[in-house]
Amino acid sequence: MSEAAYIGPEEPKRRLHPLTPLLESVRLLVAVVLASSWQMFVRESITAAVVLAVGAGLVGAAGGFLSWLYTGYRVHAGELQITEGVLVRRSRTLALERLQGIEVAQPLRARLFGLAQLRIEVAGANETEAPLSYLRLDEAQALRERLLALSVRERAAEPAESDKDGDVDGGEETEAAVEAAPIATVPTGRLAGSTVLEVLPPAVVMLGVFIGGLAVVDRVLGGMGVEARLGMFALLPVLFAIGATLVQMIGTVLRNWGFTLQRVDGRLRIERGLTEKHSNVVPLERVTAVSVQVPLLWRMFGWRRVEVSTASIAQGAEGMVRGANLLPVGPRAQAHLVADTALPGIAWEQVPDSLARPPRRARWRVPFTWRVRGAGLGEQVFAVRYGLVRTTTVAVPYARIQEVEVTQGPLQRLQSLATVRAKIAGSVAHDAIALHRDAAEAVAIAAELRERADAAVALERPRLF
Amino acid sequence: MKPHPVWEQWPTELDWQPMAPDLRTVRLLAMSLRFAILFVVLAVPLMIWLGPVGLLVDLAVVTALAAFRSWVIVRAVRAWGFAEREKDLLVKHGLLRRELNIVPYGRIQLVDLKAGPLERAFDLTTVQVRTAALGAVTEIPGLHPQVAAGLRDRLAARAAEVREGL
Repeated sequence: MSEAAYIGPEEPKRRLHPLTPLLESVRLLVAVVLASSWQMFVRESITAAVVLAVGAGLVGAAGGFLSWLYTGYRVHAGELQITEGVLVRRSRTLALERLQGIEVAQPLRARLFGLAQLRIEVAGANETEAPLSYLRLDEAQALRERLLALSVRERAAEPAESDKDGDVDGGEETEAAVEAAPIATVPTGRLAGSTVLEVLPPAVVMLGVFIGGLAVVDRVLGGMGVEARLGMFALLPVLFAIGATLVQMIGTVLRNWGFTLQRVDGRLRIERGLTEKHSNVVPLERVTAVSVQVPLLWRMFGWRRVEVSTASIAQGAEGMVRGANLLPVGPRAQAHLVADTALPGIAWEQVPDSLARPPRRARWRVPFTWRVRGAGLGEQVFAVRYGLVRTTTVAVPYARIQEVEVTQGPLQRLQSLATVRAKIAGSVAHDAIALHRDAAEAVAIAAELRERADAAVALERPRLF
Repeated sequence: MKPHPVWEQWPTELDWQPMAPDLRTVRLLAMSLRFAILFVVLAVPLMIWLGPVGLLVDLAVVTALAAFRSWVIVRAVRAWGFAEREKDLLVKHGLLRRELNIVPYGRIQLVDLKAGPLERAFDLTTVQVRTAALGAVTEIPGLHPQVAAGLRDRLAARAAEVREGL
């Protein structure tokens, strides 16, 4: 299917791929198979099972077909419009100027047929947008390029900017264009090793505590003369915990398999995945904060993780409110390079030195992390560090600060302490929080953040937020 | 060393605007309603447990809680305030947990006026200011409708000014 060369006044609605209802109904199919085999087991008659299966299948197919027929998308007037629903018509519009990032994801069942989902992240949404499933892979990629090009056009003040980023006809250009050398890749060995080091120790510790607790209880009860077979109780949770940990580790490795980060024009492109392939594009100017994380045991190797936040709510297939992973694991130099690409001009080596700890009297409030905690006003960013098991340093450029908040709980007031919080666009989980500073210092930081934010914003092109 | 609330340490002098005194009444009435419901809810289990004395215990407990809460509300309402500076809006509130919100004009995305039934009965409005930081609303309750409308218009005008100035 050829794309239109320009956005005409009325663009026809496009349909999703016809195999969509089949893929969506895989789960239904599994449930039906289970139900019918249960029927077969109970009634011991094959006819009932077959009838049930066929009946459910027909109903599912009809429903799926209808919903496919009535679902359409089109790009119109700087928005992506998606209409769906048979009985209750729903139309969602995604304003392209608020675009934060687009991911082309290929879950396993879609990959078998060469199809893909488009996951679009928009600022100011109240919930995650449901992905556009399923399109042909090349269609999905072309649509992504087109939406990205349009999103720049919608925001551009100068015409030069939009010309540089490509014209409207998405299909032919950027895929073939700048195939830059990857900024960072993650070898599988390092990925596996780092995942094990991060996930295993907490699991082992918890398991140890659990078993230890059981042993103590057993001993106590034995002392009282009660013969309790606690070993039996322990077995199931332990197996479950081991299983869950293994699944988590394998899942992480599969998700980030073959991780590659590239920079294409003004965008970051992240490709990863083995069974499920993901290709995520984040426009550089949508980056609102960068965080560098060091889990405890990674320090032996000097490994770090780099994440960025944009203004969208939930990112990633996990659905958790975490930033987009720019580098799941990498050595220090590589991590600094990646962070520098996302937010140019920050001297990451000097950031730890610029951070000041909370005052001594706050130590009893955060005994374990007091030594690690720090906050500092750098040249271009407000940097905050926290966390013991996973030490995280968050840097927020002054221009990206939305609101500043200073709070003081009752205990803090007695000690003349306060907390400063720099809020950024998107979910509150990404804010930079400097906990338990001296009250006067906190207020001074807040005032300084405001001044620097105003100065930084004045240097920028006007933008939505 | 007497503990001072955070906003008293702000570098420059601020002109804090207070809330309308009727806000106190509104909050107290809302609180009484909630405690009346609590009284009713607790009455049955306490009576079953303690017999007719339970009702008296219920009354005593609820009255004590209500008295404490009223004292908190009266002082909390006095602690609310807002100040319009040159480039941003400051809102302070809170009694036990003090909070100072600083919202730059250029970042304001949405200004809403809200009034519940009790508030309307006393001719009060709440102004809600939202930025692109989701999940964080800066609220200024207990304003007279004209004051609220004036504030909203000023905020909108200043927001547009700052954006164009860039």
